[in-house]
Amino acid sequence: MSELGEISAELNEALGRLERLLRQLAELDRVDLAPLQAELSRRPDGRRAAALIDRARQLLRQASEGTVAARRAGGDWLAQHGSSHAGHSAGFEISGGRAYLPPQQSGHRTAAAALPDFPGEYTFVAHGAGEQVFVADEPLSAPELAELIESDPGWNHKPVRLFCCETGCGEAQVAQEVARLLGVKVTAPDGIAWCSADGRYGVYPIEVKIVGGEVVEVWDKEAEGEWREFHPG
Amino acid sequence: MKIASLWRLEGEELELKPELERCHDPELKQRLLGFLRGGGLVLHATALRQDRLDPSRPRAVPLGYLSDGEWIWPLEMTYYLEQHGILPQEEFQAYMRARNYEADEPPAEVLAAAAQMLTGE
Repeated sequence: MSELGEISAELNEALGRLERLLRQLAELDRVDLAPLQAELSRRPDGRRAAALIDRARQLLRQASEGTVAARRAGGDWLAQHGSSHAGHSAGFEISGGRAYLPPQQSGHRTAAAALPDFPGEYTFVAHGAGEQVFVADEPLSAPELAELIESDPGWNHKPVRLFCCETGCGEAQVAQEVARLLGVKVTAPDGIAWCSADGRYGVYPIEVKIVGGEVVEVWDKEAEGEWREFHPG
Repeated sequence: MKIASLWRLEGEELELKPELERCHDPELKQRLLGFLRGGGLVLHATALRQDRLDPSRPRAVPLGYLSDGEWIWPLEMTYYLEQHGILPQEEFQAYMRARNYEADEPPAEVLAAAAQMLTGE
């Protein structure tokens, strides 16, 4: 991995840890401390504790704003320094959305461009596995994914279709959390999401076949999967 | 169209074809990778799968096929050449050499025909 790649990976990891911490703090923040705070304020020995709760809230807000600012600054810095990660993170526009696939593979653009429009939806195309979305070979947390979608002016608060394999499998925590964070419906596949150069697409398992005397792995149309919907509420 | 593949079926399991050699020439490797990254995408799944030769990489290998109109090859061929030095079959290598290691993107109808050939539809 290049030096820039290592810096990017370390930065991402550190921000990921900070975000997990912030999520835990946000959970705490949702606990209604107002009655306790009012009670403490009425007692001379409790005023310091009440002030500390205020201070904690203030720090939480600052840390949240700081994380978003750091990620944006990191992205700008990488872009200025020509990192391949930055190019990858920018993705490329497709009809009705954006694709985040390896930039060195020109054919990805063809395939993504062949995807049909999902009327009224914003399509997000990226690699996915085990309920997670991968951009630049790194799994994105739900807040990172939500932020990436939000940063695209083309999103415009439309319902989101995650064209990312397996993101609708199991509890689909990332898809569900993105729906909550963005406040829109998210549709995600409960298996492998395929598309072909002639505009066909769907959710199907893999079938191993022999074609022209060679082993190939293609979609198995006998066993169609589902697009699952996740709602903010 | 001809199809390139790294695997043979042994019962229900996929095994690396025993005749495939490893690449020890960095320059050749880069030329082959240049070809393999070209062409147009025929079929694509947004999946990352386990490396069959290194199970410690569970989400690493792309799934799909590219074509230049003469040959169809899997996206994973790039991965296994890059990561493990696995060379494509000799006939396909000879073809790439004859094309000066450049793969053009064929017209849409050719890619559509390749997709239909692969999927049998």
